[in-house]
Amino acid sequence: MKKYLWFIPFVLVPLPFLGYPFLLSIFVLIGIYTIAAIGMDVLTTWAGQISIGNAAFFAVGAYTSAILVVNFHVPFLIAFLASGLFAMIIGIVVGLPALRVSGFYLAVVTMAFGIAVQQIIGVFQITGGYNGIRNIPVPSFWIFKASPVYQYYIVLFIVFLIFIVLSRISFSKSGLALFAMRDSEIAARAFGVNSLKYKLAAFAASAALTGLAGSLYASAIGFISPSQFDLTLSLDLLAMVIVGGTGSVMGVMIGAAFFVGLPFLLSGYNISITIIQGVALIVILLFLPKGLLQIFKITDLFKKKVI
Amino acid sequence: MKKFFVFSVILGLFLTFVFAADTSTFGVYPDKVVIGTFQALSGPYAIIGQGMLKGMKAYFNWINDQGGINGRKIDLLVYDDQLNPALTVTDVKRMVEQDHVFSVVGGLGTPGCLAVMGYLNDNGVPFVYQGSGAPQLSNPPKEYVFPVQPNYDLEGHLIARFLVQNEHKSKIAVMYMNNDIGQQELDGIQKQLADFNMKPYITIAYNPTSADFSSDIIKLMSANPDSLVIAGLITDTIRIVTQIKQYGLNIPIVTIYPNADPAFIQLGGKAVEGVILTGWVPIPTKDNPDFTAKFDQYLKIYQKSYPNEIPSSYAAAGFIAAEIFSHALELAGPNPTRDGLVKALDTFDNWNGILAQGITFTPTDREGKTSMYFMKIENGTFVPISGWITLK
Repeated sequence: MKKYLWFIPFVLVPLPFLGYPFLLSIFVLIGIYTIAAIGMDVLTTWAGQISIGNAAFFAVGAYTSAILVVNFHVPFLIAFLASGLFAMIIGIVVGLPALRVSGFYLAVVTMAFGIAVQQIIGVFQITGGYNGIRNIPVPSFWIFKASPVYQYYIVLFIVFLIFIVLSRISFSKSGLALFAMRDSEIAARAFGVNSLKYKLAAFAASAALTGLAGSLYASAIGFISPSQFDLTLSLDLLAMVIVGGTGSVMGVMIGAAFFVGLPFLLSGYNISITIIQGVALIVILLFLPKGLLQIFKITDLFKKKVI
Repeated sequence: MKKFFVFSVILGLFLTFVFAADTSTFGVYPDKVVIGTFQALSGPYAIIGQGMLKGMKAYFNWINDQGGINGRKIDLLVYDDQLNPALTVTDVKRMVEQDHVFSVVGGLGTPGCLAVMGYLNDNGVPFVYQGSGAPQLSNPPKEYVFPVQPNYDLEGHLIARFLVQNEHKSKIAVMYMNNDIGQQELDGIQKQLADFNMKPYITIAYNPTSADFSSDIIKLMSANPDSLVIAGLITDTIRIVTQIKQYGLNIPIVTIYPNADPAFIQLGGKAVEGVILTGWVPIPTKDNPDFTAKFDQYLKIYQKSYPNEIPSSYAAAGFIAAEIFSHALELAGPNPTRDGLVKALDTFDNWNGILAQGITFTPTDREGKTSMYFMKIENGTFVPISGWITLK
């Protein structure tokens, strides 16, 4: 039970902010990017693969959900699940050929995929072309009216679910096979691990998680257009994992808070966010190679749980 | 357990820090009116946001030096959203829900403006001037949204009409950026040409970030059009024009108003000689002495805040945003309310300020500026070649 204890403060977070819904919407965004960054973490830290095209899965999720909700009036829960599923299918379709290469080559292939998806979305009528889709409703359910508090708990609940599922997988046979493959693919294959299968599974899981995050993003922001899902987003997702701390939900969450929360804190002070973010990135990589999580000195406590 | 405690304390400190930024209550105080804006002050579009903000600040500084409006100084809150709509949404929510701004003035960027226009309208916060020409801002009209810049669709119409009626061209080629601005310009051109029972001779979509346009230009040359519209922004338009000249193609080239900036001539040099541009902010010329005097006043006001600096066209946009808001606030009387501001704006009938010229709003017409003129680059300066043109 102790391993779930760290969630309690997050459950209590909204209480002092009930009068400040905009602050809650920042926390909602941090949660959404956490989910997408977990997707990246699964691929990089668990499977040892790299992707700088995950913005494409984010976009696929966002558009699937937005089109289903806005054009076809599908309930949000179904649209949400569909966006994860559709992103996963695309992940598998792309992963099959892409995972034959690795390292730099995989990075370039995924990057090309990311750019292609952004362009393709811009061409179709149903996606609203380059103008995007506006007025995407915030989901309401039963007695819960559309409000940032409600959104916050939805996102928190999903992060919690993902945490539980991932910590279970990490101790399972599949988890061990993944880690073995990451550490030495040849050794893993010698022990009978089907490396393509596990790589593909990691790629599909990564795509699905990122797609789910995209669906939540679309309803939280209410407006999506192709320009939001560019290469920068893919790189940000990768950077969140590295800045926060690889291999743990907490680390990824800190990384997401750094990338989402910092611009928010600094945006009113007329100082260049990009410069501060850039300098912070260099300092962190130099002095905290395991990410911001190192500062908290609690790496051991949380890291063990997931991997 | 100890670590859990440490973590809670750190989280608490973070939240207190967020709270410390709180400045609540109304936007109208006895001595000041608090308004907000969102601008890209860092990131790839910083050049536009920085310029626009300077224009706004210069005007508000000037107003505040004179004691403000109806005894209230204007306090401008600025948030840097890097032209990222996800940041715009949270920044605007913060302005409305925490800072309680009276109005949002001069937000920059199509994605951000479109993302927050519904929210501001639903919350009854006047949104005056958007640094965007997206047609969705003005059509359909929204009670609290006041667009000023001509929209790209309208501009496409005007360019097509100019080429057909004034220049008697029939084989019009269109090269457009593969993004929303380019698409909206193309839409406008196609619709206008359809009215003449014509269509673009050839359309070429290009990637605005590429550096080499030779394949696009070869495609263009093999079609052999008699005129070309480039719906692009400053960097790519200059590259295309330069390469076209290098290839020896000599046809009239028309491009769009975001390029009507001194930097276009500075960067383009000889290659952009003869290029025709649309404009909506008038330029001072000898045959227009009234406006020349106003333009000098603008330069004086601007250089009071930024000595010896030549303002960019983005600064002019910011300046106009500030002018329109300030005039409306004055009209709204000694006890301004948000609805009072809306009513005041709706009385604008072909209003002329210093730079702002011919601004009209009514509850059912929120097109803002619907007239433009054409100018040509001759000997390194912009020379007007038409009067004000409208669709109506």
